[in-house]
Amino acid sequence: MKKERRLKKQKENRISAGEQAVHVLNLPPDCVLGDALLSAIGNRTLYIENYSRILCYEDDCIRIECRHGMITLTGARLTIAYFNAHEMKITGKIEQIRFS
Amino acid sequence: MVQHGFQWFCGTVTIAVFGEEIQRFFNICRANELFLRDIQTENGQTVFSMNAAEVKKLKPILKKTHTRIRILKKKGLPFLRLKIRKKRSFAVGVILAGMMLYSLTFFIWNITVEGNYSYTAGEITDFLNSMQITGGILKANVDCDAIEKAIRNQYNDITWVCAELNGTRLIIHIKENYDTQIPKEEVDPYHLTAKRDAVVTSILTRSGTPLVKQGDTVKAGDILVSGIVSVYDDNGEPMDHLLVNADADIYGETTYTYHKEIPLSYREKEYTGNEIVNYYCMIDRGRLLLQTQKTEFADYDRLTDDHWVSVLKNFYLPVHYGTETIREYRWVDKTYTEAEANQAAEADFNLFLEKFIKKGIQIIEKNDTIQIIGENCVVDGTVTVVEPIGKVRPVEQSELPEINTEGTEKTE
Repeated sequence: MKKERRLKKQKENRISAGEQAVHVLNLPPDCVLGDALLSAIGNRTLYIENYSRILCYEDDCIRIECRHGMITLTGARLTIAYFNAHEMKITGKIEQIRFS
Repeated sequence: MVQHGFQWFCGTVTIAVFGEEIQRFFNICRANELFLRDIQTENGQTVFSMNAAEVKKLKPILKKTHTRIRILKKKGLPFLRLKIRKKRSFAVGVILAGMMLYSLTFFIWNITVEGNYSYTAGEITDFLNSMQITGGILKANVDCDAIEKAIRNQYNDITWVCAELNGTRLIIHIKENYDTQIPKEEVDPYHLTAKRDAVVTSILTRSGTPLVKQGDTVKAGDILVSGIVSVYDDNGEPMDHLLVNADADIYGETTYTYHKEIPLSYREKEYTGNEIVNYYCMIDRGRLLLQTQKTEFADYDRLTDDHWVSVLKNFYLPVHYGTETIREYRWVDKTYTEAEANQAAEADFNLFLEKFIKKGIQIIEKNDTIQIIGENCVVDGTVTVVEPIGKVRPVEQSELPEINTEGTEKTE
């Protein structure tokens, strides 16, 4: 049991080959690893690139699935100004961005 | 802006979506490359906008996700076109109005005079009217060069004129000469004579024989530069004479006197506060009063506030509108106090000085005395100025010198 836990921890801390390449060669992680790229203009506009799908849309909460996790936005009067295969623009009063 | 224009051109539909799997609906739309915009929650329902042409593509997605939609709003050109088809007469009216506006651009509706100082805009416009250049003339019939030439010929002291056609406006730009008076073109040879008693301060002769020099005192009518130029022989005897147009810049110091009596008692208008406002609309010259109230006032002022209808800055239409205010007043007898009388007298004297300043004449000295004599406030003043004093006068036959031709024949 103890061994199993230790192995799981090791697995979590292990850095993948891609991540290593990004680190060593100083490559953009959004291109190589497909990480979500977030660009915020104040707390009123947010652009999200490299997302997979919308999990939940509500006036005060938007949950978006990405390749390596989930992004939860909370705020007020949240509006998806537009979205397409690559990019999404969210406007409104953004209070919190949480990665999980 | 461009994007909004494009969306309006293609037509935009605002749709409310209902059901359990709204997120799935959005994700499938994205996978099918349907462009959804402005997804927001309104009154508890999820609303989005999309191009009108793509609405039909939603049908299989709605079926798949068990969602329903309701169209809330339609806007854009495709829907406007449908509306217009229903209201054909309205569309015809719009097209006719457009055609009428376009046809109005072929005419001149507004004539503006710019840069005028001593001539009023009305004076210049009246002159143009006498040339058949009036509001409503076809632009093709307006010859700007001919207008410029006619104005230059008619008004001697307008030194520069430019007629500009801009939109439905004819703008006459003029530049007046108020420094010196340009002499009318004389055919016969002429002298330059003094127009006032003066002391010559400077003289620069270009043609003719100068008869005065700097510092000379001259009287009105004295010849300053003669138009007769004598030709001398080897002995210094006058052999012949030439007649020329005397030309020189002659400045002299002259004195003007000023005398004015201002009565201490005067009448002044006092508005009673009663007024009538009439609204009017004017098409070309035909005036249509929209509201007419009878005037029962004995003495009144009529103030007109006129507005010209223009679509753009230079696209004037032959339509005016405005208000006509009739204000009642009565005459009130008043008397100047000593301070008021002095102030009024000083203002009058300054107005007299301003005429020189506007003409570019240099004022050397000014003196004025204000006295109250009996019922009048009397202003006496003198102003010494330096101004051009030359005036044209034709050479008379009697002024020509006699040439003794006999002596010359003998020597030959």
